[in-house]
Amino acid sequence: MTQLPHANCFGPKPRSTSAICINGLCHWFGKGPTRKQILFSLDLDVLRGEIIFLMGPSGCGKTTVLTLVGGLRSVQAGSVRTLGVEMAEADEQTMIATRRRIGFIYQAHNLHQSLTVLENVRMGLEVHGPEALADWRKRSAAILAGVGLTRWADAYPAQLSGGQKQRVAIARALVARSPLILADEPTATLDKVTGRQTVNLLHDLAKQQHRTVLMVTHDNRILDLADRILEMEDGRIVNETRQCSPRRETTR
Amino acid sequence: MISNPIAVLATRTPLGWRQLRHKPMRLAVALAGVVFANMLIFMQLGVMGALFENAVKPVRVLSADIMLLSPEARQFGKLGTLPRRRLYQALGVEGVTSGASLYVGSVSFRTPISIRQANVTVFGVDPEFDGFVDPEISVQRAKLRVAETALLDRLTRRPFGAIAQVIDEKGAASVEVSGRTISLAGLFSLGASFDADGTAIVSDQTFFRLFPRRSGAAASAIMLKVDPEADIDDVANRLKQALPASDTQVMTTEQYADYIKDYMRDNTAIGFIFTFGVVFGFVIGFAIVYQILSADVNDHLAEYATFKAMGYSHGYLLGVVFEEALLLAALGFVPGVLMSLGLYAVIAKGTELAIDMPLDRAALVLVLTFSMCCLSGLVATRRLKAADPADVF
Repeated sequence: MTQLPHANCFGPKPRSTSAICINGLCHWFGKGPTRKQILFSLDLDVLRGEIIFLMGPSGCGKTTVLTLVGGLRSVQAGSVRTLGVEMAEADEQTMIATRRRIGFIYQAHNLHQSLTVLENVRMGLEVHGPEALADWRKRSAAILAGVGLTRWADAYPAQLSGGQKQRVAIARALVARSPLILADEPTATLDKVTGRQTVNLLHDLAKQQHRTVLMVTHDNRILDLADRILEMEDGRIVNETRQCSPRRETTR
Repeated sequence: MISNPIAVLATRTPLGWRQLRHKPMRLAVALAGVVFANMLIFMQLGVMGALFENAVKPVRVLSADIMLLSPEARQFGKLGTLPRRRLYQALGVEGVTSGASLYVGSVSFRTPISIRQANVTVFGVDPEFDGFVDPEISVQRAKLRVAETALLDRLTRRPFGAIAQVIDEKGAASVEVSGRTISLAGLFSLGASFDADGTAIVSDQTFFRLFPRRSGAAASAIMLKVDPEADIDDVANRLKQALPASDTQVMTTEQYADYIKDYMRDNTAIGFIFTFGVVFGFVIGFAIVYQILSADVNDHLAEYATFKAMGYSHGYLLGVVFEEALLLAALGFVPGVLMSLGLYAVIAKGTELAIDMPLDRAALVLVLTFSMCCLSGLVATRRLKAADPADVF
């Protein structure tokens, strides 16, 4: 199997306005005869402040892209620059440091069950050290107000509905004012109304605070909220749709 | 940016504690495991310590400054014999002021009417010897000049031991020993051991009446008193030079007490059994705490993986598991000590063994408890490797 070079000369050049710049990204799973290529020389440039939806059938490599951008897997071939950091050459410490600058939102909210809503949000700040905790109550309360959960601050995750839990996860991802949000199917377990409300919220907060969002989704009902929609198939980006003025509607 | 570790600790969410508190039943089971392990270890160490202390108690009560012993001498019940003439040779060594032969035997004492009996260790000694350390014995030794008279240990195991109350009230009591009537004319305090219900002191002459096969020429031990101005170790060295090592060994009282403890710990079944018991308690505690911590890590794998994705290091998660381990050790130790004290009281009452809780033992068990919990935590953290942040997507 041919090992591809780390950077594709013909791919996008990293710009100061790029939050994510991917060049010639290839990735394989497995070893030996069962080794299978998942990504094929992927190129992508995401500008700061952009909201990108990554779509495609299961197994096409969307989530793998997300994990490589987020420093959750090591880059095997090609180049991934996340917030200016080349992940292909990053050691473990650099990857951890980069992850701290990213807000992650998962399909399963993965809130800590023994911590209250407020404390779960605090964990998003604590990872940045004692300095970040100077005004944690104020910041956490503000972000919880932003997601409409002020009165649930002292509740435990088990006391919340699915939509509320996802909103807590969004608050946790945003509280540290991370410049990049990576979201993996945040509406998958939510009903239509709650899903729409949740992504609306994420969209509004991201736009207000000029955050970049890269979201993997299958949910056709929220496509109007993206600046760009990338469709993947068999490890390649096969279609790109730009939405010059994304629609913002509220589902009642 | 490198943060001050103290500031990090001070501001850190006590996640380990929160996780333990979140599942009270699991916490209770874990604490019960630590308490049980603590009690098991305390029990083994306590009984072993009591046995050792009981074994050396006669040395501390009876002996003077230096003891001459047979080379085969082990603990007080297994002294062997050495020639009495070594006493007279020792009295000629500079620094030795007085001495006496000690004869030790074991015989059954029985009360004449209610027929209660006890296996009693009998010490036969010259009543004129002024080297007894225990003042209670010193002031009563004149009573032993009367033939067939004995002083009895007031801590002799019941029901026979109840006779001590009669002696206290009436000043004396009689018992039958080897077909003779012996008058118990006074009391002293020593305590029962595992192989004897109590102890009695008689004159050497009375001893030979109770043990007619024993010869005065073969003493069980020889006790020597040293001039207060002289250095005991110097005198002991002089004695070693003066006496043949083939039939006599010279030890200070403290050396002999240590020798008994070391011998019992290293060469007897008691040492092995109780040390094994301590190891067993440690292993049980380790297994219980490991199961609890391991289950806890498993339950939180997704959350831990999420933390890793957020930028928390593997070290942070290790810290959470160790925090739980240390909390279990600390929270389990306190009730463990209290319940062990209760257990000691029950054992002391039931066996008349002097079982206590010295600080060094409590400190040792504290260290063992923390080691046990930390080792469990260390093994449980292997499961943390399964917390792959890529898996949460």
